[in-house]
Amino acid sequence: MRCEQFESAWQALMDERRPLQSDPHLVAHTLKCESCAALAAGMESLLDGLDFGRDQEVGEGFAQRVVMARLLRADTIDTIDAHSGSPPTRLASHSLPATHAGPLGSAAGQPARVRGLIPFLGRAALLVAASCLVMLSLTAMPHRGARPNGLKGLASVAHPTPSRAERQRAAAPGDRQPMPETIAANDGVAAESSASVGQLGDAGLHDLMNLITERSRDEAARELTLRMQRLDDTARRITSSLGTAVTAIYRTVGNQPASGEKSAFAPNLQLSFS
Amino acid sequence: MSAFSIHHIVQRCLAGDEAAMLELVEQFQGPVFGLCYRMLGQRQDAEDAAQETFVRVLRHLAKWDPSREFEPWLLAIAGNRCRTALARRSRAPRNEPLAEDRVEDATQETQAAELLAEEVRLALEQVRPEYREAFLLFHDHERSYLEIAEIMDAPVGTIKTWVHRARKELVSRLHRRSVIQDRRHAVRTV
Repeated sequence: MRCEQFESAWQALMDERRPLQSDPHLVAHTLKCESCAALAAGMESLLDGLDFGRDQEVGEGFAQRVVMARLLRADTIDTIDAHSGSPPTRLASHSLPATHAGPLGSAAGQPARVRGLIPFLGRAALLVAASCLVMLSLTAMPHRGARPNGLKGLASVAHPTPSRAERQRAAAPGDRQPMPETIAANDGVAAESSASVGQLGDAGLHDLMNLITERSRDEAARELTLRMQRLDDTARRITSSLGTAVTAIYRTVGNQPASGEKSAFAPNLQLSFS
Repeated sequence: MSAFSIHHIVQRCLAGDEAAMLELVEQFQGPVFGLCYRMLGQRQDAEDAAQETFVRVLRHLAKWDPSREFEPWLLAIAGNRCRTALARRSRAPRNEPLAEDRVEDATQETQAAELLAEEVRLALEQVRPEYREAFLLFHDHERSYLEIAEIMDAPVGTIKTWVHRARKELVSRLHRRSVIQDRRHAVRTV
């Protein structure tokens, strides 16, 4: 047997999911040929390595996250009429029947009016959460000079206006410029600095990158630590607001879980029904 | 899962039953995540791709042809998501996997197996995505060439060629990394 014949027969054997040992001719060739033996041994190792890595499991709560993501994006849903076999139609999500245990608990025992409300509640929760985020963002917006806050503040995040210090830096890039407001905010008014957590998205990232490249490593590290603390604080406030919102929704539906019971789709939220 | 039960679950999903959606995801999250993890090599990326796969599947469930098997259709969408993620990754800076992704274990045998699995993962990352996907669907998901051809929307002959090339390339890479030198003897003495 030549090596080309071996390779062709070996590939065919693998295609049939049979081990090398099932063909004595191939085994005999590996005893004589170093490179073909290496090929066969390599494949065994490959399959062993594949086997070992097979036990990777998806993270806990994955299915819930998927369904939640699906529901949050559910402006419309494809449906089919199973009986008539008619082509798919697109229905607004609020027209879906709610005959199941949804994220807000079982609705089977609820009056039809309440069941009809369930599909709206996901949107309501989303709206409340979005409102909380916007409010938090606005309160953390920079209030530099005479610049108005509110929506103009949001616009400045998308298209940040350079500060005086930044303009000076741009004019003389080689010089050591005065510390910008973003860094000078170590004196207790940090929350009002332009580097506050209200700066989200690309503008915020750009600001951070500038900070790291322009300041010394220690200064950048201090500032980053400060921002991380603020972000942590903001995250806690958002979680708390979401908990309040979900609690309110449970109350509206009237099938709130028993005290201490967790929301099926947001098990980390603290719900209070005192 | 029988064809009847998957049809039943799909019908419930189409009616907006969230419990059925959960059931569907839980039923197939293993193979989908497995494929994504092998294709992308990083846990977080794999979870993102798997989530995106299921969201798309749930959104376009009505497009599934009930006369065909469900899982190949699902894996085809997962494969597409992975290829998209790989294309996106090639345009962005590379993120190294976090240390926490790697399991620490005391026994030497487990360490050797982990090392081998890691080498295989690295080797898989090096081969062309279509070779990798075809190889994984054949050897990891134990799909037939016909099914893979359907999943990857390519002729059976092409799929066979991809799997054969993947085998040779992967083995060659493992040899270059001296991963399988010590194991040669084991095969030759069988």
